[in-house]
Amino acid sequence: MNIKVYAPNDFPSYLPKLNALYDDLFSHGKGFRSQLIQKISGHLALTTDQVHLLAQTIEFVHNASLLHDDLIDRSHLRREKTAAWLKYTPEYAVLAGDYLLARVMVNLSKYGNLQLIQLTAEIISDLLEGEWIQDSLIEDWDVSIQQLDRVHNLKTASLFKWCMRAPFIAAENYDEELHKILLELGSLMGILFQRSDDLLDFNIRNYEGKAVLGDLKSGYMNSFAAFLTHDLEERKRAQFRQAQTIEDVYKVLGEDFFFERLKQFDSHNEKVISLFEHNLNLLEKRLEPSAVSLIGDLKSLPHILYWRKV
Amino acid sequence: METVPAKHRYITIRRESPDHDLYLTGRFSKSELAIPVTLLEGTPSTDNTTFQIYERDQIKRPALPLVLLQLMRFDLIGLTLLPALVVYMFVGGTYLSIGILIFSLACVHAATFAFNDYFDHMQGRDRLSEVSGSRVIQEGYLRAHEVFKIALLFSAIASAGAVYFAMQEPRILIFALLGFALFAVGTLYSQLGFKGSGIADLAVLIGLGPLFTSAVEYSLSGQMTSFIFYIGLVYGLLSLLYVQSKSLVTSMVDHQAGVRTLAVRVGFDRMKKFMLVELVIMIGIAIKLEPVLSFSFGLFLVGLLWLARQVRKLPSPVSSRTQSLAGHILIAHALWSLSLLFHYALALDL
Repeated sequence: MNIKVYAPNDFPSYLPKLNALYDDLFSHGKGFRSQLIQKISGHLALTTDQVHLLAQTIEFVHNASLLHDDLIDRSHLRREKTAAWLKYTPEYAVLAGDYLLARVMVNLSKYGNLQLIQLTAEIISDLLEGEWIQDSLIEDWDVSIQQLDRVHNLKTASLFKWCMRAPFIAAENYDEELHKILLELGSLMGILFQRSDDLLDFNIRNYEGKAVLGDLKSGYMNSFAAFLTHDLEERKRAQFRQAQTIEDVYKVLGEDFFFERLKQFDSHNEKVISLFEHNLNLLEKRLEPSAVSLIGDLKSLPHILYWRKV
Repeated sequence: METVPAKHRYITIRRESPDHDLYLTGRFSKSELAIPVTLLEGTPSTDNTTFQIYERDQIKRPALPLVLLQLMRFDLIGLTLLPALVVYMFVGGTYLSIGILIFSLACVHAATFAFNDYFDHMQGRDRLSEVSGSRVIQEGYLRAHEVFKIALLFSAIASAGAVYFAMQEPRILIFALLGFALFAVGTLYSQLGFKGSGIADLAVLIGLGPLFTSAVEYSLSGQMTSFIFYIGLVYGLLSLLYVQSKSLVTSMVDHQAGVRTLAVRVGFDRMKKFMLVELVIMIGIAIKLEPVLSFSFGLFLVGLLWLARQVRKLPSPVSSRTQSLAGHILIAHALWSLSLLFHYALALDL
């Protein structure tokens, strides 16, 4: 299913450049979150319309956050294309993001599931809180990985938490204990996804050949950078901050040190993966027999997210 | 905590299960440790707890004395002992008296933090933030029931010290009772629902401030003076600032968990203003004492002004600047003692 397609009457045609902006934005995206929705929904016997609504909702929310993020960070590229705020105007980028969120509210309120509307509103709120607080960390070179996790739990993990819970809410399964487990699973997925993304910035498992050190050059210490340098002397940390290439990083820290730290970082995240698997076992006990096959599909997720193995 | 790489084992136990408290207190096994998993979600589950299970020899524990120093928050011992030492310096007293006093205060200090660690662990509050408490339970260095026993031991020793002073001067019992009340507030303020009511903050201001210094003065000399009272007020304000700086750090987590501390109730920006007002009050008190501290308070004043600048520039609860503020306040606390020591030395022409 191509969930990036929206109906012609979703966005008014009299608004100039809006559809072109969205065409640019939605193309080349991997649609991972909507695929996750489809995967989970398949085990819950949701209708095609329900799956379409959920998948479109999460993609709208995610892409709205990307539009705003790129403007806040002054990023020039998004998915190998010129960022919307630069290609069009900053004002259009802000409004286009807001409009996607408005359409989400329109669609969900038409659907009529109040719990789903509440969940979505909370997630959007968390996303914005995370974005707000992350802005305070620009050029904070001493931020700890624990504090970054809290920010990422708001910013990145929110969408995964929604993906885990929304299909069950659409299926009208409101089991409190089940949803606590889904929340925890979403948190863990978000952490793994973010940490893997942060490693890309240091050319680790960078199979897509993304540009490196973008975070560092923007003045942002991502989780791996914080882990790498947390106990180094100030002189080395200052040199690290000036690095322009990955070779500069190796030169400052030493390649052996860098890869030893990477090993430790991977080891920490293996713990997170183990915790994910433990929560999957708990989830299995709460599922209806007809949905237990979901566990098999979810088992490989942390490995895909962190190790980028398909 | 160093661990030997091993397959990670987890267990989730419902609160109503008879095994739950056995795991939480650490009594479930002699060869294994169960450490609750730190939460990212704001609210600790009221229904169950997830533990990571370690073999005892997976945890490389430091030497026991170092663990005890960590448990008793030795980094904060200055908050308790420095005011007592400064008062002794000004009012005098026998070596025996000050020795017993210092030892008893150290035990009160240790007992308070040990009990705090224990109750925070049993209530799940230690899982909300990685910066609260001594972390000896979370690191696997001590089991919760061991921490409780150590806290009781320290309390017993401190009580013996209180008995000694009560035998010297029965009126000291008033201070002992007040001190005990404050100790109870300090240890149990979360359980008693005081967090956010301001009572705990008041207890810190008074209990580590003028009540404390006046009690020490009275127990050493049988007198109370306004000079020691005002010195104590500055100590109390510094201790309060310390507690408030920690609550700024945890304000995001507290908000998510529904814990309504003062920082959560008034907000990050307004809390900073409260702290700035307290700094101004401290400067005012120091100026009031100026005829007595004419030279030595200059260094302290500069330190307070620098602190005020740091507080104004705090960007958010998660920033490293906010995380490090507490450490700077401890330095200011020590600086206050140093400036008083310097003044005293000058007065003696040393």
